[in-house]
Amino acid sequence: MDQLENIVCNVFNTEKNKLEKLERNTSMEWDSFNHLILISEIEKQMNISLSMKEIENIKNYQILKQIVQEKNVTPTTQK
Amino acid sequence: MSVQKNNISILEFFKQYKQICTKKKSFFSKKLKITLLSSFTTKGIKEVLTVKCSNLNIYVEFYECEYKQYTQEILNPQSNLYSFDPSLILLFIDTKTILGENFFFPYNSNAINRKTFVKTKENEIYNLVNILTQNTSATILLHNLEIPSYSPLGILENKQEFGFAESIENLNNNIRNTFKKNNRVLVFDYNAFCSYIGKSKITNEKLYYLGDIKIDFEHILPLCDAYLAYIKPLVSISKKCIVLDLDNTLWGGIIGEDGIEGIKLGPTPEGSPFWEFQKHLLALFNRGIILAVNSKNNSQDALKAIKKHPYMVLKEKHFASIQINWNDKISNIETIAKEINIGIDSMVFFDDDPLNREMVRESLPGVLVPELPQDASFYSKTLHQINDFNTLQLTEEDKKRGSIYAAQRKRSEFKSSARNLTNYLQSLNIKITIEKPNQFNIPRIAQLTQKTNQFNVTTKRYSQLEIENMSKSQNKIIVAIKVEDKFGDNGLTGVAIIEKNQNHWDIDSFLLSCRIIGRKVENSLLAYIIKQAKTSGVKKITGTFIPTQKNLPAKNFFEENGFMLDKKNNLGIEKYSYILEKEYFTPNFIKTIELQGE
Repeated sequence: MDQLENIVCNVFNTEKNKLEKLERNTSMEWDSFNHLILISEIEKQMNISLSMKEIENIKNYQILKQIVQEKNVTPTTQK
Repeated sequence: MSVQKNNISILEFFKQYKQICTKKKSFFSKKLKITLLSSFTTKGIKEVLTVKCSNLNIYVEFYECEYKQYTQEILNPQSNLYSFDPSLILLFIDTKTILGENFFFPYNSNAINRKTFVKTKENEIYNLVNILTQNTSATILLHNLEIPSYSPLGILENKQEFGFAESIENLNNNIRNTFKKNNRVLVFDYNAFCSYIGKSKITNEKLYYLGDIKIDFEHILPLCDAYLAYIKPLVSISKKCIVLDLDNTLWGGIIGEDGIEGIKLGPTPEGSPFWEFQKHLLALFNRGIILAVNSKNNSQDALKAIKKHPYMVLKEKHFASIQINWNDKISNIETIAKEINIGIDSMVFFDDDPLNREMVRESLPGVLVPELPQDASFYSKTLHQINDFNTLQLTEEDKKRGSIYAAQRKRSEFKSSARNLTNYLQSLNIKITIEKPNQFNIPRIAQLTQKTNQFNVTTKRYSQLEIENMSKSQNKIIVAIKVEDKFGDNGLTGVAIIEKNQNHWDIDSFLLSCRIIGRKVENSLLAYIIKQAKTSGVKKITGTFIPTQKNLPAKNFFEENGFMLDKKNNLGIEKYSYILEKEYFTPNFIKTIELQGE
């Protein structure tokens, strides 16, 4: 999940040790636009597709990690 | 469509954007206020464009209308758009917004109704653009519409009278034709941009349904590159001159080793890339880009190839400067800049050798040095991707520039054979024609005020609209000069703008194109102004010299022409005056023709 961590840190300009507590409702950086950037980066870099329902459900990093893990990700090396 | 390859993601641009926002405006040499009026979510354009402009030393202030509020902003004279007072407006209305439900069901109505509907929409666009041109002084970049590759009628689409695609094509054609002669409104070919990216790729459908984002984030980068093609000439940072290496750049192989018969140039698989590259360069020359040669070679061998090779497209006459010697590339570029009298930062350097490219980048950072691919097959593509040669309009002077500079080389050769400067100037048979502003020369006058850096006493920049307004003012006089000599016509190359006051005239602007500096034509222009001032009964002419990093050639203009220094402030700004009782002597070797009327 290193790749996911990197993407999230990059999008929200945060550090890895803060990810577990990262919440959409409380993070200033996690606005609606950055949410879309996050989805776009995850789909492109990790070569997966998130459904609309999954995208709506991503309320925090924990949920995001779980959704991505369920997709048996094979990380791509580059975008 | 000139779009460069972007190797970094939009995320990196967002980070850089935050850093740029902390920089002071005074850090940048150019400033630009941009407004984006769009019919969908365009977040990302502001950030990417600001970063890309910042990399060109342009400070951007950006105003984006609220989501889908472009019509309200345009129609309301009290809106933030107008108080922001932009110099560039990006008006970006997309096909779906324009067509509404007709986008999905174009064939619910007949051809006549479709035509009426599209005409109505077209008029709505014109109305918005007209209001913008009336209420701002901005240049407007109007996006045409993407023509969808999908049709509800499938393969029968092209059988329809005024069909879906045809109706949008028609609208695009009408937009293009309507604004062809309007210098304030430029049409951005968004449909061509979509084709370049690939119409199936331009939108990420998920982002579109989630946030009405119609351009996938990754394509915002090339879109902003395409905007730079307009921004660069708008802030006068276009390139004027291409400096070319010869071996493995203009032809394949090494002339000193392979000989004229052995180099690769012409209609063969190995020679075609070089042959076509030269043709593209010639096309740029024909629109006014100056060409020069910078090659480490035996001069005789290389010149023989230029003159005699049957497939050499670029001839000696196309080059404003030819530096074929064993000097380093950097000093040759400096020699070329000096010889043709243009700034180093107006130059682009093409060389197949990465070491030479790196050396020039390091030593002359103002020179644009494209990364030329190892494979010559991609040379032409590399040239096409450079969006630095644009002008917002092409004047007759622009088209002739390449030939004018090539004639300048002949002039320089002639100068070195002359006995002395006076003898040289006398034998040039210089003729200047003095013109008043008119609809034909106003674009060029404005262009000269915007681009002239060296012989320019105040470096005041004026838009075409401002020149037009000044030409109608009773308090202003604008004088333009055309310069010819026995080597050719230099075109309209000098401008003076005078402000008429009750007791004196003030020289607001006095400038000469660098291509005619040193031929004393400024004296003839000044003589004309003095004559007019005397006729009007004023007693004195005043002038100001405002120093810049580049206008040293104009520094002594007033002093050398009999003006008295009245005061100088701590910024180096000098105020001069000329008492009109004094006799002013105009150079007798210049013939002056005054065109009457406008």
